[in-house]
Amino acid sequence: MNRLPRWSLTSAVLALAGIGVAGYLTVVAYDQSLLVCGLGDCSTVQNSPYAKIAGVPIALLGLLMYLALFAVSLARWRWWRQADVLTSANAGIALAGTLYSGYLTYLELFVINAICQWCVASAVLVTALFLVESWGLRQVLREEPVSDRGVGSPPRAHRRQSVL
Amino acid sequence: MSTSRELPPRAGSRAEQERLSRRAQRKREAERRARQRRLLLVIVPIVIALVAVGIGIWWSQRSAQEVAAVQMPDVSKYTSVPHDGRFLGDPNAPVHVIEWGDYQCPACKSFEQRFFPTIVEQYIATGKVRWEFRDFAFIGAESTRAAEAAYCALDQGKFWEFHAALYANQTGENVGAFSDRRLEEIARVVGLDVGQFRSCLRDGTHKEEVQQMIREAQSLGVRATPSFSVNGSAPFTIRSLGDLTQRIEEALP
Repeated sequence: MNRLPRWSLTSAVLALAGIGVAGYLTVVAYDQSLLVCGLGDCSTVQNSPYAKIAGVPIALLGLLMYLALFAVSLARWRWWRQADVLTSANAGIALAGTLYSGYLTYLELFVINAICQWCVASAVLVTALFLVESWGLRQVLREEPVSDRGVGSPPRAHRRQSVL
Repeated sequence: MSTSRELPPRAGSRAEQERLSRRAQRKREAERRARQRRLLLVIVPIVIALVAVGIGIWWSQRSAQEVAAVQMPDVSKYTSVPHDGRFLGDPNAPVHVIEWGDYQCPACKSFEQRFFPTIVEQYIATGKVRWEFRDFAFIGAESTRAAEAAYCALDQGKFWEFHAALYANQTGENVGAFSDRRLEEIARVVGLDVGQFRSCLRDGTHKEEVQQMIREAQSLGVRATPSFSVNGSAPFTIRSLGDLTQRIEEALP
């Protein structure tokens, strides 16, 4: 049975969605062609001084994070023997993303006083990714057998994995 | 794992007992290492994530609080053409364009910095267009304050220099970019008499005029910025520079 665990597929799909959202926000951050400021919405969030760290748009950092999460997901399929380390890495990245999104959402609500829907979408996605990866890490660590030949040999069913 | 059950040790064989004990020890050791590894795989990402987020928040707070040094932009595009108060260009030009803007509006900044030099070069410097800037300050308190400050600069004959400096120093909306302290700093780099500027701003000398300009724009139908009117047309917004130049070309005799 060469079946991939459902959670790892879910995680890759969420990371792809994140790439879409953060990619859109990055394009907006670099696009200077905005030619109208209307009542109610004037890219307040993206123009706030919190939208950049050392000149780099947060959206770009978010995009890099989702790309990393997706790349690690692919690597995990290819090298399932290392699933524990790779899942641990992904859970860590997603945890950092979730905490930072929490900080950004706090800024939106209480400091900038404006909400950016795409930023909220990204916060939801990264939180979901963190939950899925944590669940995955739990599964992978549980499956890990202990033998006197060594530690962490993968279960037989996962030794050869194909993407589909 | 079950090797020991399949091959029961022969009682009394000391060597065999030692072998089994070593095996059991190795197994215990392997289990200990596995537990340790599992623990590391959980703890390490948490610690790294916490440290990374801590650094990120610290950096974000630092760059947000750091009020960027006030920049003085190149204003030669304004000073090289006839300018008078809120007007730029030949008073007898055949086309009169009004622009309504808000100094906190990123689209106005974008228009000012990317497209306006072309307009100056092709239409204002050539005597085809007389340009007027009016305030439609709607984004927040700092918008009206910046508009009042520009009026105070106008009193000292440096409206366009101050106007360009406001856009050059736009850092966000209602985040202190145009606090009174920073407006004074901008006035200083523009070369205004800061004392006079300060009392003009503090006394609200042009408060009512700015409000009047906003009410007037609203009654004309301005709802967004930048909005334009060519020879008294109804206000319109643009999606590209071409939208504006086309209207100007149509109005030219």
